[in-house]
Amino acid sequence: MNKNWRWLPAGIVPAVIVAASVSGTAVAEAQPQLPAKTAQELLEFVATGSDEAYSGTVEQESNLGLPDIGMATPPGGTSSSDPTSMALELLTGEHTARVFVDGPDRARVQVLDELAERDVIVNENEIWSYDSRANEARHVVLPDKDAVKAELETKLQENAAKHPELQDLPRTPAELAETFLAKIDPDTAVTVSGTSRVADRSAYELLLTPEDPSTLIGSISVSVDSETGVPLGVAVQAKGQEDAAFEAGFSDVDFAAPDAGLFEFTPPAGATVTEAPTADELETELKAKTEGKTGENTQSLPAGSPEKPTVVGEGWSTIVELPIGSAGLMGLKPGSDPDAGMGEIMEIEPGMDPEDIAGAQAMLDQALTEVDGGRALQTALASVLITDDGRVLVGAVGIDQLIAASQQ
Amino acid sequence: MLSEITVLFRRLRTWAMIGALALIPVLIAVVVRVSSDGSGSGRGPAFLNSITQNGLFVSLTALTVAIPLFLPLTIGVVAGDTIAGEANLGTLRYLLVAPAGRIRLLLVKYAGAALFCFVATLTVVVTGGIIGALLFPVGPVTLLSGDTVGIAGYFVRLLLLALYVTVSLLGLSAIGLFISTLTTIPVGAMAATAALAAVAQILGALPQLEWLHPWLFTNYWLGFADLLREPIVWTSFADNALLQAGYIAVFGTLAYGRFSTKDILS
Repeated sequence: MNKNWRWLPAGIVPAVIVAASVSGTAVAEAQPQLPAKTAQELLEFVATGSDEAYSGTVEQESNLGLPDIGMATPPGGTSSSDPTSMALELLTGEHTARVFVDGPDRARVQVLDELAERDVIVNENEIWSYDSRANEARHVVLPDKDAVKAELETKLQENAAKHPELQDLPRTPAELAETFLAKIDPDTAVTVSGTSRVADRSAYELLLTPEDPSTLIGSISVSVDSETGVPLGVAVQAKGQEDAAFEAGFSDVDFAAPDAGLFEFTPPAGATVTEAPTADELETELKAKTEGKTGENTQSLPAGSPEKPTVVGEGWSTIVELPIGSAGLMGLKPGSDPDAGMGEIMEIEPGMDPEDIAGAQAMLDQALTEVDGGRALQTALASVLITDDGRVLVGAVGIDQLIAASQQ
Repeated sequence: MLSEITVLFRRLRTWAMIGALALIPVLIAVVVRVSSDGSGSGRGPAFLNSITQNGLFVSLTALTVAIPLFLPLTIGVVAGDTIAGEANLGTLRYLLVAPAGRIRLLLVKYAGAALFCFVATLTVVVTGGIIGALLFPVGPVTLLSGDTVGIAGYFVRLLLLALYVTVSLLGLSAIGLFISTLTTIPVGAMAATAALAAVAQILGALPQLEWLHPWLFTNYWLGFADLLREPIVWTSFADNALLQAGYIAVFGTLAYGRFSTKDILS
């Protein structure tokens, strides 16, 4: 008796599953047909989209050629609370976040980590951030928006006589779009390159292509929702790299007003709450700091140092040069002794395991390469050069150009 | 069906495994209680630091600890034993002499394993809640998003959590059932199932194999945290269910193919 047909389902089921998953991705690729728009029209459309309310999930992925900083911090670690390493961590690797937006004044972003979450909640003039791993909340009160606007307006009126060109500040979306286009026109080609589907919605693709041969940035494309004008995705292409160097976009989006309760945040019991200083307090603090000790060991970046960063070049190949001493300020030790590293890029806290610090340090040391006159970090989109005399040069150009700029 | 379940839950081994699972939260709670001196070191599994402030977190910590190793191990034992155990005892052919049919036997065995998944998970969650409430203060629970929910809301989420973990383990149960049809030595099937769970998790930890990750049955195991966000992220629940359904379909049909064609000699 032949019983082999009983194996049939076991062969069919995997085939069906594979077919279903393949056809699922193929359907999503189809390009929608949309009425044509010029770049100017599309930009105006984006500017009008800022009042929309929506919520959705954003997926972000980057291929910068940097070591994954997320791997250096232990799962239970706490170093992510300081802004520099958090920004670095968010720039490398992959992340999923949920975004809730209700007009220009209220928004909430949730970065979904494994067994943890980081939240930023903006509600009118209050900003809360919360890190579930460290159970820390941070609260910032912004100056009242209308008051600031009124103040700016009066200042503008006062100075109108002296600077007549200030009257031409863009006010409407159309003017904004025009100004933006005029500003970036000389070295950037702005086109509407076509349409695409993002998060099951049809979108226009706005493509910015630098015409500057020396920059590392190949092109930047922005997907704009065809119905609301809300940007649904951004992709930055590096020259000579097939995959996008940085990519972020909605994987699903819902244009319904999110629950208002989401924007109300009360820090949970037991959380460490830090009140950020208001603008006035910050100013006095900064003054005290600069008077007390200029130069070395100041925690903040060159704001407190006597020299201002200089800017070399313009447009896409702009290089920012931080003056002598800034490397030390940031905790970078110039020179090529074995001790040199990025000590304070990851804020070292007393509670941290020395092994973790050493591990992260070694990883960053590995990323830095020895070059003529300093040490450099090359990523797909930007380069950083730390010269032996302690200057830091940053730009979206190759390392050789940074070296040339440093020797001028 | 009913008799199968009573047999499963009348076994000493089943109760020993449930007891061992119940021991996890108890152990965690007692250790934290004894060593608690108010200093959160920031190390160890997620939620561990929150226990001293709120005893309800014992369930979560225990679940995080149990998912990678203890739960797959016990599921491996139960699922691996389903067919091979009967074969080993020599009772399989008597079961098939009755006009029950092989498909029905497979289904009943699988249902029993699935029920065990739920009971095992629920055990961890419930004992965690009880021991936590006994040893630590209990209050409104802070979610990952920083919002708080009341105790009633928290228990709804815990129930969902137990459901999520149960669903997560269904794929593994199906694999165990299939392996169990291949052999007459239950220990081999148990070990193979538990080892597969470990292998899948190791593969899931390697960033070089990223393309493979969405296909691993362990991929969403720690996704239960999505139920602790405000609002709840349902996508991982749905993705997980779909993935596990795929595993059940593939290994269920494989088990059927094997079991319905093989000659039962014992």
